[in-house]
Amino acid sequence: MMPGRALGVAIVLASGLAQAQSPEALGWLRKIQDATQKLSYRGTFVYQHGGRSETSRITRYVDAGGDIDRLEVLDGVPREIVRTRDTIRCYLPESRVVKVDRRTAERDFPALLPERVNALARHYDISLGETRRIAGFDCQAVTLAPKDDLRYGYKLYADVHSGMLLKAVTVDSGGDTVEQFMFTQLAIGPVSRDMVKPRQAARGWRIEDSAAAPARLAGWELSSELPGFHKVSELKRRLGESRPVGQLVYSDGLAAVSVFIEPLEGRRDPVRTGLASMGAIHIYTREVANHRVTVVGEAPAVSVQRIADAVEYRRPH
Amino acid sequence: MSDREIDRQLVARAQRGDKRAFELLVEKYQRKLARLLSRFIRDPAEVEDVTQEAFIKAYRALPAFRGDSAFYTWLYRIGINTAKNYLMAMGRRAPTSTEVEADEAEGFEEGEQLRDINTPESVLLSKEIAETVNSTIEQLPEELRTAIQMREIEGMSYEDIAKAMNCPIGTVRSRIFRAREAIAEQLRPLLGTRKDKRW
Amino acid sequence: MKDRISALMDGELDDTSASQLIDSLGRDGEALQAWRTYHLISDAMRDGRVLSDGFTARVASRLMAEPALLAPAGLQSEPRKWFALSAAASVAAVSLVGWLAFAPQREARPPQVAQASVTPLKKQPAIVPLPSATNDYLLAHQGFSPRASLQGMAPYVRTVSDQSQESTK
Repeated sequence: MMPGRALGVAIVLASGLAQAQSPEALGWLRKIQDATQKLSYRGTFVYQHGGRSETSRITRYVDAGGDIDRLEVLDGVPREIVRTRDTIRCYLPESRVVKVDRRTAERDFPALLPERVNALARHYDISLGETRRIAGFDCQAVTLAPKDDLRYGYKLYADVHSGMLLKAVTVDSGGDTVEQFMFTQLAIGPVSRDMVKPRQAARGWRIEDSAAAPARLAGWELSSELPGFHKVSELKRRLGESRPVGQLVYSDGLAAVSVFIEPLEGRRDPVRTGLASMGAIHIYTREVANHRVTVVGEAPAVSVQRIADAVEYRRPH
Repeated sequence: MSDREIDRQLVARAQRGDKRAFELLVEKYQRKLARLLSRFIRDPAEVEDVTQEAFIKAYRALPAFRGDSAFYTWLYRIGINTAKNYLMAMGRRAPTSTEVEADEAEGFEEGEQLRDINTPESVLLSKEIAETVNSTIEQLPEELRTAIQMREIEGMSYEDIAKAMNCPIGTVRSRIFRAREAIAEQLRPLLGTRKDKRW
Repeated sequence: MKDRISALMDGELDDTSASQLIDSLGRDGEALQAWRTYHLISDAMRDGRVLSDGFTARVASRLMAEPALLAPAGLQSEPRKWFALSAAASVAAVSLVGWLAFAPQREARPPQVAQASVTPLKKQPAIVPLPSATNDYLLAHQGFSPRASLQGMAPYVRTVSDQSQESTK
């Protein structure tokens, strides 16, 4: 029994397709995943949300010895992010800082493994849409219409030949676009290792290592889980130069929500309870058991808030 | 030269007696003003009449315009007053009032199109023109379409479009121009029947 | 010539060429046509609303009947003075006129909260600014987003752009 609004979104998104969950549509999702892993490419894409656009150059180098991705954002705060098999390094030239995040074990192409594509069908109606041309590629549209208001809908456009994702649109329950990624220029094919070297020399820069490691955050749990969102990660890490924080990650296979838990003792900045937004991302902050709980997710505000409200601490004995 | 400076120059010329300069401003802002006034007045023919009236009032008030605000901001206020007076003369109640954001008047438009739920569909007076524009765009070569959409819908500068499309600024300028010309070509038969020979 | 009109209306023409072009706009039929058509296209793309044919012509013929303007106290010749007026003062000037206003169609942030959902919220949340550590949260979060398996690294572009606290840490 679909709530009225979600039905509306399903109709809006699933343009002209008789039946949802076609194996064909699921096959396209797998094709996109495959392409993301196996293809080398370099291109330029635009990220749009709330009337703003940011242009970035992205390069992916696939190699048996380990893949390397490089993202250079041309607008806003200058930043460059390089991801190798083990680490993500974020170079911030204006503040002369490199933020280093070493991957914990479960983070190789997280959550959306091939067998999980079928599991997505529990919460999204997946169907094929029209074909259209984007950045010189003929693309197949794949829509993921949410079955409830707790998650966003997505419209993906993938190259019919390679499966490379050219455009991704996130849509809310009203059918409005909340964010969009679109390649404006893309070349698929071998890339030299040189092209994924960071531009920044970073000599003498401050290094902020997140020191992320799997952990059990004893006593912390959700009083009720959000339908479809299961815990996928639990770790301790540092944020910037702050004290260690705990991070719990929940996901429905496509969207993810992180719960950050920071001890408050000794910190002077008060906890401002409430909701903040940025495009498709919502951030809800509240205080629980003398800790600041910050929930960050690419899910509608209602979901982020519900998870935040469900966070509780039961002193372990 | 910025948009505001262009308007300033046209206003200056109009104030010195150049009526055609004022007509260029009419050409530029008529639809924007009509869209604003259609929030109060539902009948499309009435919207047009009131919009026309607002422009005439603006023209008459031009000597008093000192350039402290942008031209459109000033035009906007005149438009609202004209609509208000019209509604009162018709014996109709004006909608409830709250303070209007100054940046609405300044022509600030978010790239994300806000749903204007109060405006009736009947304001779409010449659907054929709108449809021709949009269908021509869909059939344009992709690089022309992307360029003009980034300019008009996303409001991006040539420099930002050049970055996004990874081409020189001159190429962006050329693509946008060629897109406009291609659409203008399709519109020619629709606009060619104008009785006005001055243009 | 028409390509300069195109650049002019996008605010991308240098001042000298722009002034010359504006001068000639009154005299050159082709330039006028371009000005008219390109603005029409722009408006049609943005919200598809178009007035009936001949609107400008009707205004023009009414203008013909208007007496010529005498503008002794016109614009200051020094354009810089425009920007001396602060934003606060402009708003004050607007409210002094006491003009008709209407409830602005501001995008409600966040829209979803007000709508019916699967289970209604107990309360409406307070809206607060983005936390100062937002970029750090985002960086820490993106690594776990399944979107990476569809989009690679692209989602990492999502950060708050005007972030001044990086330098204060």
